[in-house]
Amino acid sequence: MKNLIFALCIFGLMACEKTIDYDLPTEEPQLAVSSKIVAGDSIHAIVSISSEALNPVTKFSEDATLTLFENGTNVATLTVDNDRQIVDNARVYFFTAKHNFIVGADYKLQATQANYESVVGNTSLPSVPIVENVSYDPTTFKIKANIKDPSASGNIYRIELVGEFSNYALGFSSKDITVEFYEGYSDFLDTDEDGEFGYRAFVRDEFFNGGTKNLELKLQDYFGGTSKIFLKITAISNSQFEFEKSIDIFNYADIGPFSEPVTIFSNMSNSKGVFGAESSTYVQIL
Amino acid sequence: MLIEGIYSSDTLIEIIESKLDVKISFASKNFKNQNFEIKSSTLKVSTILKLIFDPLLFDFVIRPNKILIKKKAAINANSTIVTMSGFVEDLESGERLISADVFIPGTGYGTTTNTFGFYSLSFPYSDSIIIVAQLIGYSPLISSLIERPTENVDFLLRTEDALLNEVVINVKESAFSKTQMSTVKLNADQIKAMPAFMGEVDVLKAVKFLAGVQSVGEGSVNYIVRGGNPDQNLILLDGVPVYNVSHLFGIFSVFNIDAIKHVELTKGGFPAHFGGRLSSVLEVNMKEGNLKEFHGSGGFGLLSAKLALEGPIVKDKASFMISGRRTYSDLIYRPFLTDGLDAGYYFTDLNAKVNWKLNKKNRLYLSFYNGLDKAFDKEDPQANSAFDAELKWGNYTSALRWNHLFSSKLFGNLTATFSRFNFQIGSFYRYDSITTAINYFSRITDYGIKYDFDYQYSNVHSIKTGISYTYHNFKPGALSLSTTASSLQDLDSILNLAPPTFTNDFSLYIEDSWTINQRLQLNLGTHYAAYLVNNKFYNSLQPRLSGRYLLSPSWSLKASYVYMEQYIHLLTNSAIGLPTDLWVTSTENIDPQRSHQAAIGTTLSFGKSKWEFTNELFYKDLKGLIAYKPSASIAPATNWENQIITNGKGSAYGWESFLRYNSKKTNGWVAYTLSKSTRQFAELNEGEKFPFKYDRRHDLKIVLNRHFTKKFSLGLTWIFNTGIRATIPISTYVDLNGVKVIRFSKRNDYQYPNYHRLDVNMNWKKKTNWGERNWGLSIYNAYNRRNPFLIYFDLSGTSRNANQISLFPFLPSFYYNFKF
Repeated sequence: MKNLIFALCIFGLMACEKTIDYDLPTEEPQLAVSSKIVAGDSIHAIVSISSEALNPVTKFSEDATLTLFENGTNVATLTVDNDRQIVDNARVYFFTAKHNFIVGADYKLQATQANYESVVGNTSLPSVPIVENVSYDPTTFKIKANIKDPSASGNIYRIELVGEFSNYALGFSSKDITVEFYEGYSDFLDTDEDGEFGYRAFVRDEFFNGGTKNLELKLQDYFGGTSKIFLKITAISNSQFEFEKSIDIFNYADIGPFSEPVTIFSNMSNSKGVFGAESSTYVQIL
Repeated sequence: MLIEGIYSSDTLIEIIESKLDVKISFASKNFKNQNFEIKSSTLKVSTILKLIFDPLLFDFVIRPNKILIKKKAAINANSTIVTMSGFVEDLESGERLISADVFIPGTGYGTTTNTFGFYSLSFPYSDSIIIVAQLIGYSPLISSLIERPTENVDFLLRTEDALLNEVVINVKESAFSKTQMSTVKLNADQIKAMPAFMGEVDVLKAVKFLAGVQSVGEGSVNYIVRGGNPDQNLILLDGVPVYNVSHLFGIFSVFNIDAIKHVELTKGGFPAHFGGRLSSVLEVNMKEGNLKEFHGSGGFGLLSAKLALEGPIVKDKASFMISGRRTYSDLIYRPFLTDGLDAGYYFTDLNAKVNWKLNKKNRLYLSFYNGLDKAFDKEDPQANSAFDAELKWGNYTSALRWNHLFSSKLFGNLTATFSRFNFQIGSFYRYDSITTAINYFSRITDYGIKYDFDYQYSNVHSIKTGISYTYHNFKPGALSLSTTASSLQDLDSILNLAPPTFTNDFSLYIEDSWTINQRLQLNLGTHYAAYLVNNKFYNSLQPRLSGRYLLSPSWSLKASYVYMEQYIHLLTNSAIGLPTDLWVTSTENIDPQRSHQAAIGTTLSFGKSKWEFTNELFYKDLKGLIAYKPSASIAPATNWENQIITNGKGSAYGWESFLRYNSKKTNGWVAYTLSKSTRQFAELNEGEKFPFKYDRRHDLKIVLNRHFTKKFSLGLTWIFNTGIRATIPISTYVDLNGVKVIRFSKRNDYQYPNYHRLDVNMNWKKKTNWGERNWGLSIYNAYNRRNPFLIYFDLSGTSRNANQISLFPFLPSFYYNFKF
């Protein structure tokens, strides 16, 4: 229906359309740091150089200095690893550092580079989630699990089902309204029967803080071609949650000219990029 | 003295001086020469002198060979209080006149006729009181109580056109002495004098030229009042809410000017009898029909043709009015379509009204409106298979009203209303002998009843009270299926995409217009509203206060405070006003919209009352606002509650200035608004306050209409406003997953280029032996300004750019109208 309406409107308006050069506000290229602490592993980051939205130039920094602070103390300087990845003919430089990360500690990441303004971001590492009583019924495809939430409030969990190869994501659904999907597949299923559908969902502890969350899911992606399936529950920092949520909404947003744009969340000081943290638990269900 | 007709003050004084052989002396600097229509054939000299000097607040004493003029003493408040009531009517058609002023000059006693032309006025009796009845477009009528001992007095006003002499608009005392503020009236003639667009003058386009009212953009009938949302404007056609007022995807409104008598916009200081919307009430009243003679009018323009007929069913007792309008472009091009294809678009309007004077105390009105927009596409009916589609939407409204005059002090009106907005998309598939039809429709239906009373309790207290009930049926979306295929006939033929909601809307109000003294008048009231939806009960007691203080007879100071609640919301992309816009109700999860509003202002009349200058400061705060989630832009039929964000806040404040000029040959106004409005949602802009999309800092409009000769007139309108606000892409970068992320500005941080436009209308009028005909040429956007309607950004490819859509360039059009 809405396509028909849009078609009628746009058809009527096409004759009056012109491409224009606007005096849009411009800004100097800035450091955009995307970084994540993965518990028990390391910290990863890339530093992209931002460019104007209408004249994009993909460029990554190799020369930035990324310093990690733990509770205010300098604990590591990230170095470029040997991973090679190309985006738009530009090499991506991955920064990384090993460190024994502490649950609940405050981490600050600072990036500096000559001729660019320094940027910082803050996050804290959530504890590894405790997942119990996991069950899977292959006849109904229903999965049950309990998440034991620590007493501190504000915990957020990402829920995924992954195959054995390269964390291949499988689709699932839930009728539980506290299981939040942001990917925009609300019309994908019969919601009365299966609830909402998506490839990742989030649960916030505001309704079970310090208690147990009884999770009920239904596997929907039976054709993943995988012989093993894992339930992956990841405790994520608030900044990581806000970033992933905004990315999901952005990716599945209505792109009509009348829709309001989705702002991608950032907790870096120049509003570009994110510094998050996460701790995962895998439980094999099949 | 035997005297009848139209005289100027000078002439009347000369007549008295010559008849009585006296000399009348007075300070000429206080004298205003005016024309008077003397209705009674015999008047005392004293009455004529009162006609002249009462408005000037002077009294007189008749002595042998001389008449002494002195400063007028105030009416003795201890005198017997009398109540005079009746109706103000058009002399020629018998139609009752809305919002006419009835007052006693220089005393502070006055009132305004209600929607049915009724007035009731109490005052201390004096045997020489002069009463004035007046309304813009009519010659004022001045009467003396000496000649009218009865308590029931009807005033029959002549239109200015009916007078042979040039008439100076008289004292408009009551215009600025009323307590009500933030109100503007327009009559059909004023609207018709404004430039037409594609041959059509439009009520809502005229309203958008008033101070404090801003269009959301070209190609949309939606408008913003004092920083509110488009859904906060209540639009009433003969007292019935009209939910979607757009034709042709919002380019025209549903109001056919030939069927309209009077338009009144209230944008603040709402009296207690208004409720249900936060920002404005637009009352559009249809003509009643001529009680005395049969008349007609019609015409055609670039886009549509129209015809209106009115006349008595029983002379002076019952009358009718019927008016129709249809676009005709499809009728012209459809015969040229080939291959059996039939496609087109048209809209129609049908207005009808009957009024019946049962007796002196009872009158019935029955009014009806039906509008339809339809776009369709049909394939060859002879082909083996075909796919047809149609899109249509429209309103039905009807009202049955019964006026009853209980006494000279008490007037009652009982109204039963029906209103429905229906939107439908149909598709029909035919293959061999099997046909299948799928229809999607959404609908809102209201059934209402209300009883309103006007009670003139005393010369100090005038009371309005009433009660109303409306049953709303919201049907956001449903699919129906019918087929001749035998295998599918068992299917459920109706599928509700969103469950229908039934709500009960009840209100009760009382307000007292309290005249404390000649300078100070208050309007104190309260509006109680109750709303029941899905076992959730909302109710509120809403205080309404306004006051007027007369600084001088021509200069008043006014202030108001109101609290309002609104229980329905519109899911709309306000920039385009599509028929898919969805009216939804507050639910247990979605709170009502709430608003506190305050205003203070002055009104000054000068230049022999030809000029009126109003200035107001206003402040409004808003709560319970809803908005689309950033990812959505068109109202979804399903699961709509999950597509919105709630509990938004907003505020708006500003200054409005309105300078209006009105004379026989020239009329117009300058309206300027300086304002700021913001919004705040927890889920948007990181929870920070941001500018409202229509936060236009400056808004200036000029309307000018001049009759150069009896045959030719020229109308000009010019509008300037600060561009609307938008969120724009600023920069781009790559995230940890290699995805390119676009960073947008803060919400609504960017401002579109300013908007300005000049429209011109030239009209040639000629009286004929059968009536009158006029034709005209209108130019829209005379200097071809490419105003941005929409700027959007193509960010998908490597060559990224900004695109502007401008709607209407230089656009001349013609029209031809006639009346008989």
